[in-house]
Amino acid sequence: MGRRVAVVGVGMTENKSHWDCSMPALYRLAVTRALADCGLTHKDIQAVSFGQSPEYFEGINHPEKWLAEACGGYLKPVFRIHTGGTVGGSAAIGGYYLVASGMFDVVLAVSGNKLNETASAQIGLGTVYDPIIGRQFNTGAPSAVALQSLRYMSKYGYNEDYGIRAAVQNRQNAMNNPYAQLKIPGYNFEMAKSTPMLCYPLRLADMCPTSDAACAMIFVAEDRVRKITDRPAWVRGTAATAAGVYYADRDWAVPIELRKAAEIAYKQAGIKDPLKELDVVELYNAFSWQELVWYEGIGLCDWGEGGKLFDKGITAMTGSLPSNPSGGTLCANSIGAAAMFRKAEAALQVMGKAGARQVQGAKLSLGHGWGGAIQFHTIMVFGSEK
Amino acid sequence: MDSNQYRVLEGNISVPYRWTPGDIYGRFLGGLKEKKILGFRCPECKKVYAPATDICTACYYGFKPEDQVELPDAGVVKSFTVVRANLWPPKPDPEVVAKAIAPTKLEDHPLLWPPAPPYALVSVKIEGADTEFIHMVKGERNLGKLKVGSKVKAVWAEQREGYLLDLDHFEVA
Amino acid sequence: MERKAAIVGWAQSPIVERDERIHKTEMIGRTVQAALDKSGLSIGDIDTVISASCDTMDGASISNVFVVESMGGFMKEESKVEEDGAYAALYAYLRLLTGHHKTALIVAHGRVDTPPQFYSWMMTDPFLLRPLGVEMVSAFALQANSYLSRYNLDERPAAKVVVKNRANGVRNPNTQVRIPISEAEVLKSPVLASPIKLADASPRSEAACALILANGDLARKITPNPVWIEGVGYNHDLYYLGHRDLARPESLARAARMAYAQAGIRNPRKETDFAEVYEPFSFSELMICEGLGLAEAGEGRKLVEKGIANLDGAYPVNASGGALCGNPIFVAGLLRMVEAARQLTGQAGEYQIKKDIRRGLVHATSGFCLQSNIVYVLGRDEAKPKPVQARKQVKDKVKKTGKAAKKAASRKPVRKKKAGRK
Repeated sequence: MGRRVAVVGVGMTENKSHWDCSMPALYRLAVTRALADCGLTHKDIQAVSFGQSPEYFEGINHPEKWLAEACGGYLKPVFRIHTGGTVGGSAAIGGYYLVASGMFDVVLAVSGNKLNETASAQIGLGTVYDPIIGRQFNTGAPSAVALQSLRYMSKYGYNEDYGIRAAVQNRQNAMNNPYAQLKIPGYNFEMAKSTPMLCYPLRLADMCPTSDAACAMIFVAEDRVRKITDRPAWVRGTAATAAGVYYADRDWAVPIELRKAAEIAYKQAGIKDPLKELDVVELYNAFSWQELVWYEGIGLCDWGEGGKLFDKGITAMTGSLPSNPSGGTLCANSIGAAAMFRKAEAALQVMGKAGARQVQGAKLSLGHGWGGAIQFHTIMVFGSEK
Repeated sequence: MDSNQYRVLEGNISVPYRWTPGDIYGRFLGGLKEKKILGFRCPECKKVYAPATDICTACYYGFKPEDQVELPDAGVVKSFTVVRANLWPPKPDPEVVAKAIAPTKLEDHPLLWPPAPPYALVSVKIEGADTEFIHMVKGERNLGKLKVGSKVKAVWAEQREGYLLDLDHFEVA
Repeated sequence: MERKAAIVGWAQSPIVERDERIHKTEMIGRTVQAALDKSGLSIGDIDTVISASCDTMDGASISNVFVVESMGGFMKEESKVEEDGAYAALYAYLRLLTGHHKTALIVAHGRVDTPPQFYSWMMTDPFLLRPLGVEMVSAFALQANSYLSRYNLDERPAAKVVVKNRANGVRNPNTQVRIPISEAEVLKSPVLASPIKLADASPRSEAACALILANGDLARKITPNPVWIEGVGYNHDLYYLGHRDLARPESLARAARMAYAQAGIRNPRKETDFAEVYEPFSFSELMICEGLGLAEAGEGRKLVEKGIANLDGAYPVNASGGALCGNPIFVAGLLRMVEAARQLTGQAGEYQIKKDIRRGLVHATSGFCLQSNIVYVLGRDEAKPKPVQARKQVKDKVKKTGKAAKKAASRKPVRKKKAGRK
């Protein structure tokens, strides 16, 4: 199916408030780090797959028009992909297709957001809802996910502590990640449990922070890989799926569209039992409960078994399939870059370049992205072998 | 109400912003406050960018403070357009505008809205720069004299806060 | 010339200034259904859906969220390109080239839910252009003046472009402005921003458009007249208007070169037969024709002055009337592909180019002053187009997959109501 494609370089900026840095400079920082990671220059880049989330976040329409040149896109083929929270994943998948199709050999995928440019990202997120039916409540993301979380809890009989425990596991992992935003020494269950309830059942600890960040990945065609690196991350499977927006017809605790994406990606990668075969997963857990829902969505266990899987400790750093060694989206969420961070972290794991958060011997990894109005999912599976 | 009647739902999206110019744009805007037009010279290709931009695109070089050069506040018109029609919808309530599309410093520029026509949008090559500066020429007297090749000089605003319109407009010399 | 993927079906809603009687999901749903009907497919036959729409125009973040169901993206591999629909078609084409997908549906919609000035003003950066109120008309006017002064031209050639396109538009039942205009009327129309006058500018429009692509083997099974993508190129120039040469859009020349290299074209004027270009303003068409290599730099005017670009000319440009007769943002470029496909399959009716045509150029642009451009070379099979049997069902030829296909097949077709003018 097309040409084989590998990720050879990854560049990330720190997730924080980059108040001293303009949007072009932020993107350039991620791109220069990706180029340095694989020893290429901007001249080697043949095309750019650009991603950024809703315009209302920064108040700039068609941001690629302004920012692409800061990503090395000057007089090069550039287009912008925009699918909301999944955009980082969608842009990475776009980068993959640009190479796999045979159109280009070396492609840069870049995605980011500077959420601190707006007074509140929730104003922009509120406009995700239909202006005729839905926006009147102007719920933003937390209250919508609160509905999802409560649905999940009550459907399968999990108590409130599961969300808190998932959050704590991620926050502890984040201590190993130099790019994460929320790094709280000695973070534990009691500290998380004592945070204020913002919208039931979500406490402050269950939620992600607001970050500025950009992330870049360099995709290269099969025959160019070995000249650049001996530790590539081969793209083994990709999928981006959508479900409908009509809430009344959907069960948010059962993300069938994610299961479909996983099935497509696993088929491409030749994975039959993801729980056994995958070595590490990076999930877009913007809210703690989603960690458990996504376990089920990507087929690590049956519907409703996510909490039980968590209980077994399999997904802890010490388990057989660590989830979010980076701390995940719970510890750094710039929205635009977050889904690409998941892909990039997954790629770094199979490249063996994840530093303190490295899962030893990781050969097969999965990076996930979530977005839209709770209905878009992206998945990329990376392998250290073709 | 007749349920078959076609309706239009009217609304407004109001989002306040705080755009961070960072070091290079920030220096350029700070220069305007001091009545100076600052350019940035790429050490690799020697091209001088005025107004500022974060990078020299051809070289993919990120500008540093030491690349800054001071340029005269005069130049030559390379292209222009005289905007005659009001291209904009009627100006909404100032409070709505201030909330909807806030400039860098909201309090100082409560009425960011395109200038009333006629005015000219001009592309000015500042002396010593290799790029052109998009700005305005205002006043019927200036508009009448405006040609490609006209020499223009900056007219500075009385009150300046590090904003593009600290340079109020260019006038034809 | 290897033929990898082809246009096998399309539909558009008629371009109107504003239709407040229907919701955009209805507009999109009907258009998609019409495209499927035309190609004899059902939604279950579509492998991937790529949309193009704009958050700012829709006044809604992640605007594809709302239209996923109406465009047939439910439980499919879906993505959105936030550029003109012609870029969405590019992404769909890339997906077909990999073999992961065999059929792709491209859906673009453009509704004027917010004044277009806000759309273009919000494209400006906050530091250097936004305080000046730069938007589409004033930016393109600055570019037009750069072009005129570079080549020492007056405003008449551009007026001739308007006369030509409006005359063509009269013949196009799907376009918005269908009133002919004379050169004197164009030159006398009120100045918006010199040298752009009211008649030089494209109107405010809305429409939806759907296009279906299929890979090589399947395309021939779906339609007797596939329109092949022989080459595609795209490129992106600098953002700041003062940083680039406005009079000669370099990104357009590079996009064209990339497309021509794939299609094996050396002389586009001789090796292609017509062009459909996205000209937001009359002056742009002259510059685009030059950028495409149809005329020397500064000599685009000869195409209109000598009547070469007329419908009955040697090289018709915008036989459909172009964007000057209807410019739905995010749709206009995809519509150029549809119009070229209509011409190549002999389905353009009143505005069908009479001479024998085998290959056409399609151009679309986005951004201020032709910043980003995309160029397609589309071609038909050597044999003359075969007559099309209306609503021919090819379900037996296309292998169906999954429950979704069965469900879609059993679903009642959307009742078609002609979307009229306000």
